[in-house]
Amino acid sequence: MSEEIKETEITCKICGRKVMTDGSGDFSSFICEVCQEKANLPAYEAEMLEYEGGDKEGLTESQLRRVSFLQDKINAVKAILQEEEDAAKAAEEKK
Amino acid sequence: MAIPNKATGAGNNNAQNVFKLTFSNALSSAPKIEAWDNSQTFPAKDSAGTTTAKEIFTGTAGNSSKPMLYLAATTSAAPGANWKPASASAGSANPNRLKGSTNYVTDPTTPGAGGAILFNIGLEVPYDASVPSSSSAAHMIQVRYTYTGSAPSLTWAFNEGSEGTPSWTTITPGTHGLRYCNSSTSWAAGPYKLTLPASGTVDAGEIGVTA
Repeated sequence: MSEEIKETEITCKICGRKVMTDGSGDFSSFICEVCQEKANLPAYEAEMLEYEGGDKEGLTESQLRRVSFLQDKINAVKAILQEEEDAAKAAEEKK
Repeated sequence: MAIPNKATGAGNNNAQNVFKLTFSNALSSAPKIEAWDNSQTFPAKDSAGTTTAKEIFTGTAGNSSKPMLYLAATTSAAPGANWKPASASAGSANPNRLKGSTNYVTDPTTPGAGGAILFNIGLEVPYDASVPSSSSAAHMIQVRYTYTGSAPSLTWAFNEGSEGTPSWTTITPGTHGLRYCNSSTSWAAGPYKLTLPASGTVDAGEIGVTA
């Protein structure tokens, strides 16, 4: 017998995006993954600079994995920002 | 007993009396417990959390990019055995993995004047986490609360006694910190280490408060 999972629709307080959750409690301060990733972008770029400022030869295996992870994150967030900019431009041109 | 020492029952154990936060004045809503990057060098801390960019929140390929910290609000009851959530729930859940205001825990109570909340916390680290972890795991626990009237002062504490007979020792934010360590750590002498496995993940067997 499977247990029914109760889902609730919650709203990001920054962008208004709706997300379903199986959680409970107070959702009034919820920030969605996309908005948080946008807020994280300067921190990702700063951490990347720390690695790039050093000698890549001297990086450990785990640090090299982190550099690759950061690059993927930065690219993904920049792609979202670009999409939003394009959409805003398209909406402006329609007016 | 004194700091540094082990927090009794901390981690993925069925323990209710582990960490305690007391509010001097009444709150107007249930407090929310969050975790954020700390960009300062320990023991200094940011005044408030803004980012969750460190590896402790982003995770790694080895744990499918999950937040590593997890927390249960235990004010009303012990969390049960093996309470660690497999993954994060969006917004609030109890228990939950912790990542800023994206994944957090709401306490089930609204404390009155002099009231307290209880919680337990754990850390699950994948084999491929960065070493050393001094920056990649630098985080702070933040409580979000509301009140009407006078602002409460907050007193943080951890249990150095037993689960049945707690003995609470005050923790000073910005002075003391949490250490996520192997089982059988010598809290008086150290070393304070968590050994990574060759594959999979490891949970901190002991968690303590250190200067």
